[in-house]
Amino acid sequence: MSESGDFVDPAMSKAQLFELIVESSTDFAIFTTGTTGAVTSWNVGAERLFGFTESEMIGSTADVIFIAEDRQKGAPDQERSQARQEGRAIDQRWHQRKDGSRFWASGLMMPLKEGSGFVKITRDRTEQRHANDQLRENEERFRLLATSIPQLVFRSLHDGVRTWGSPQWIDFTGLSFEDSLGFGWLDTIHPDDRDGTVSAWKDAPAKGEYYAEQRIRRAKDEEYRWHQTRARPLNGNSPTTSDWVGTMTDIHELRGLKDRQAVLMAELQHRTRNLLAVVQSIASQTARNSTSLQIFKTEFESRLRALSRVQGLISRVDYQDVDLRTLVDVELKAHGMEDGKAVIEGPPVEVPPPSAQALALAIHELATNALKYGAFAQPDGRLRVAWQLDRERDETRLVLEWRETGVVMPAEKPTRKGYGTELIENALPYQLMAKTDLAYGADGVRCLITVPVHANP
Amino acid sequence: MTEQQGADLKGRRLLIAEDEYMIALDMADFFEEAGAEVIGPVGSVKDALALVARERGRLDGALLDVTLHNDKIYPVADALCAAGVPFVFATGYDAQSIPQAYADVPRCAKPVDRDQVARLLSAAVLRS
Repeated sequence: MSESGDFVDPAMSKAQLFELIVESSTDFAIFTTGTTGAVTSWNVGAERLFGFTESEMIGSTADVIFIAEDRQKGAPDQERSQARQEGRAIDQRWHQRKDGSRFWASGLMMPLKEGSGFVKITRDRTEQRHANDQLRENEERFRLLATSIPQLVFRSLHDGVRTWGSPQWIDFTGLSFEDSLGFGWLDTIHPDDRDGTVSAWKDAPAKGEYYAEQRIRRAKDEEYRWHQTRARPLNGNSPTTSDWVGTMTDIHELRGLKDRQAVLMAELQHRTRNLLAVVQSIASQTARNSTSLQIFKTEFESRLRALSRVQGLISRVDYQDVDLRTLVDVELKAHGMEDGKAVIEGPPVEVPPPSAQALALAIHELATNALKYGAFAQPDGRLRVAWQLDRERDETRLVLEWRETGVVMPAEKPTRKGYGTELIENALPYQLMAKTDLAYGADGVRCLITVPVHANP
Repeated sequence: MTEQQGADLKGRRLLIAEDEYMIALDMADFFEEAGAEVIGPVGSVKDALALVARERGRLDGALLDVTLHNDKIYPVADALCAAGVPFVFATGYDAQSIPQAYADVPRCAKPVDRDQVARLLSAAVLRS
């Protein structure tokens, strides 16, 4: 030893040096055996790894470090003979300790010179094996996940160059694994969506995420279906060098709903504006027929309420057809009609919204008139509203009759044609292709309205 | 040009296409008060096309509701264009609902401002 103690004494023999190295290598089990496996040396690493002390092992067989199954199969002899013939025998296998516990180890056996025996170096690899198992398990779990979720899964570089596509992708697009690699997958994207799909990759590394919506062609029926694609780098810290993993989710139905909602919003806007235009026209036509502001106010408000009632019926069933009986009933009740004075008769009829609105306004005019001068105003007055459906060859028509009886009619017939008359005699034929007949009979008003309700198939 | 001159519809023969009778009547009254002669009104695309064909060479302008009983008015617009008759749209729809081909057609949002209709229509008539 040198004075400083830092250097190995040059006087030390090679044998001593070798022994020192072997004894210091506590992470390696190093031992020597005779030609049949009897231990001739056993280092500290071996004591540590196998649990047998040097004194226990010297002269005993080293085969105890093999597990029983391997011993039965003759593994120790095979190892020695391989080392003898090939100069070395390398193995990875389970070994056991003195206490019977097992561990995974890699070993190297070499023959000593002059055929005097063997040296074996063994290292515990249990942790590495666990790590490998874990990795394999993780990979298996990823594969299982990636191949069984309903999304199409892919791996790519940061610029969208694909390196892997899941079986679902291949099934959905009909494009083979190989043909999908690189930018081959772009072939299945709708031509109008390709630019956006590729350019979104340009922004992805900076954002640390890829997001785009595009139509992907389904092989089964050649239909382009909307998908939402998201991808992220496996290593978020270096997005440009990392692999990216992404999914493509079918959002076709969702997109459809969104589009339908936009159409509905536009339609709602349209209806609202049209309704306001109707209100505007009612106001100006009422003004035209009013001799005073007071009359205008009363009549305009009354018509607005009728419009509001029928709108209530229309929107109650989501702009669907309106039941005619309900429509008539609501209008008569609004005019304070008592049950004893009026009869409503007719089969169930569904009236489409535009017809419902016009019919309701017409019935409102008739009821207002009845309340002022007719069946509702006089004690003996009676009203019968009855309808039936007439099936002609090409269309079905609703024939509705408003018939008042028991009314003492004024001596003079009305000379001026008011808003109500205009509505019934002109608006209904104009808007609904209706035929109308409004007559002042001897004992009350009679109005016959014939409206096509739908075309026959 | 003053607004009075700009909105001069006197003596013009104007077509009205509008499916809601009271609205059509209202516009007809307004045009007639302004001294115009009303052609129609008509409430369907079919009737409007027939009227445009019948009045060929005698129409000065038209006010067109974009939707008549669920049908779009565009065939009528095309026929008027072909005949060199200027027209104005009245619509409850947003501008983006109008096809690009008709983007230059003057539009009035419903419920219409009558004076705006008169201004746009007379300006269109003067331009043609």
